[in-house]
Amino acid sequence: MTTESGVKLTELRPGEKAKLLFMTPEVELRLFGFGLFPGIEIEMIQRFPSYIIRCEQTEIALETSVASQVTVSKPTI
Amino acid sequence: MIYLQTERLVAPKKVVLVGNPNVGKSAVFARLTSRYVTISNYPGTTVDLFRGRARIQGRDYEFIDTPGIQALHSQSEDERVTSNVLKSEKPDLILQVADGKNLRRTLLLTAQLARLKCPLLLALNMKDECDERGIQIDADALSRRIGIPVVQTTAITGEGFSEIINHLDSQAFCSLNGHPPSEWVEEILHAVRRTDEGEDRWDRTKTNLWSAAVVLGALIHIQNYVGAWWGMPTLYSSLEGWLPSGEGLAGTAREAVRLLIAFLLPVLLPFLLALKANTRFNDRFGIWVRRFSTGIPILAVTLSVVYQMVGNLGAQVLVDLLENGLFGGYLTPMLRGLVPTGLVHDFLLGEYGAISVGLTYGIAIVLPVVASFFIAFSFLEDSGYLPRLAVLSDRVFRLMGLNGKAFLPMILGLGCVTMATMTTRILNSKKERLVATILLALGVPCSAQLGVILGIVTGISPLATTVVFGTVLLQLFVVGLVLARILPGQRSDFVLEIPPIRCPDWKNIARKTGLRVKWFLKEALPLFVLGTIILFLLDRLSLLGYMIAAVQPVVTGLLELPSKTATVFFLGFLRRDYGAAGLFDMARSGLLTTQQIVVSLTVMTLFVPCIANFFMVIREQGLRNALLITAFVSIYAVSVGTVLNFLINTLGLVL
Repeated sequence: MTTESGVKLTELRPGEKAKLLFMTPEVELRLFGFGLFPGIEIEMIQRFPSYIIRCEQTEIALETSVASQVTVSKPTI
Repeated sequence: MIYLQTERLVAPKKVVLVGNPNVGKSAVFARLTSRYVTISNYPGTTVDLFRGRARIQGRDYEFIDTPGIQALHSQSEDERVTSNVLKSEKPDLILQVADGKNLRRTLLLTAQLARLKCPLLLALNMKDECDERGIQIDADALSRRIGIPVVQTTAITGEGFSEIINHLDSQAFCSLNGHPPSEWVEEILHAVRRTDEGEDRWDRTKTNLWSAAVVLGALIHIQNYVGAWWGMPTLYSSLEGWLPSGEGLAGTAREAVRLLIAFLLPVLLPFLLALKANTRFNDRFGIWVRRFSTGIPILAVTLSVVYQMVGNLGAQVLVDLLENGLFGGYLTPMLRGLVPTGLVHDFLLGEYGAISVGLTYGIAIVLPVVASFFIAFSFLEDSGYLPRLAVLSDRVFRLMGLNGKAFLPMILGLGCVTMATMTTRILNSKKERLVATILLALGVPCSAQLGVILGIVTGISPLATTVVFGTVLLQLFVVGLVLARILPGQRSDFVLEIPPIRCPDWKNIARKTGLRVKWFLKEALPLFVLGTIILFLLDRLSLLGYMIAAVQPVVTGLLELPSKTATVFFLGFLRRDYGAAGLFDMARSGLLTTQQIVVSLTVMTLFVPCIANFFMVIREQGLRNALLITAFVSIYAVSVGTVLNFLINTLGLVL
């Protein structure tokens, strides 16, 4: 059975895909502009030196302080 | 007749180009108006408005190119420029330029633009890249959904532009309200195939072969470097005997061939071919460069290739060709014969002659250096490499109260500090803009200056080179560190879009380099001549001696430099590269010891920015801040020079 659980974006490993659930109001407006809004699928590309995620065909670099304010749902089996 | 007259009275239709950063607004603008604006592959190339008029099918249009925006509620200065223009200009049409690869994100902005109650036209640009990645968009279906014309374009080839032109008079308003539901986006976006899925084995083999070739090239390059340092036989040195020997022009040609074969071809050729041939290689390379483990070595190789190009090819081979060939061989002797000795002769060809110094420095020393730097730099700009370095450097910039985004104005400062000061607008907070402006004024040498510096240091020891660049970088870091703590305000978090690695289009590089060279000839050369004339007059009026005597205690006392260096520093304020060219000349004439070269180069690099930058700082930061920055920078530069000189003396460092 597949369930979904909310985890922080920073917990994804490179290559893992997840659905964006929500983010804190502080970063919301900035991230919306990059096409990052709830419901969209993202992929973690790289964690160091900065987090890099892919959403559609865009790669976006995020600092830890921003990435930790984003919650995603990771499909778990 | 009457028809024609009324037509002339009609005001041009105003079309504002709006879109996310780095989607190709400027490329579309350039094609619509036949006006060239700088186009690069990083977000933030355009930080100000550009207007252009064009007559299309008998009607006049005014197009306005704007800085890219993430959304209408904008944060940074450059984005505000765009929001303001939409409010104040009352456009007849908004042309939203978008990256077809990111449809969802595009439509988010479309929905916001729809609220402005203005006719809207959507151009989905980069169709070529969509095709390459197997993304197909049903433009007609999208058009029906949102109620406005939608066209697919490739700005760099001109594909789809006849359709844009057909819709320029569109009166359609967008009906999109809020987030588009994902179901219908899926419907429009059919046949999406990601490049890494469904690729066949041959594709992967090809990519691996290219990667191997590039790595091999880089290794040969590194061996050439390290080998030359340790006295090991290298490809470079084995060419010694193979190439015919020669003097003068033949020697220059020989040097050029040797450089090309040993340094540039092994790295650049496989790399360029790989970039051109294979999208997957580009994606993979894009990942390598922003990882610590692979990114740092790639950065080192990149820097050394640029160094070879500017320091050796530009500052040695080309300067030699122009200075000794053109000026020394033909022009100056010819003029010497024409102009009899006397005042006119001194004015044109004397110690501070407008031609023998002003033009020679400008055209024979600085121009070849800047031109070769511009080529290398344009290439880096268009490849998409620079934003990836921002990712690598974010952690360092964080300590300085900035974030990785600040890397862009900093590295652009190597092109031209004045332009880069304007680019600080892409930073989100006031504090960041101020810190970046100060650091630019303090320690980022502009292309011409950097090139000349490279030209000088190739002639001295590696240790001396390291001391110069190490000191400058250390100062930037220390000042940033202090500023981060004493200036009020906040740094903002780092969020940056990273464009794909692209193979630069040689036509764009040529055009951009041409434009920059033209700009140099127009802006800098007159200042070179003007500066020389001022020096000449001061010298004639015997004021120069007083001026030099006034700064004597600092120049000869503290810095222990020959007094002539004072004039060079003065020239440096007019144009930093002019000052550097003066040092270049002094160093070659053997007027400076290695230690003096190191100290004077360090002071010159840290010294006050040129006049043009001074005015730009006033414009961006106000007069008070500009004066404070200048005062701080001059005092700091001299202090660092003094300390450095003292340290070298005390430690007994042999450079």
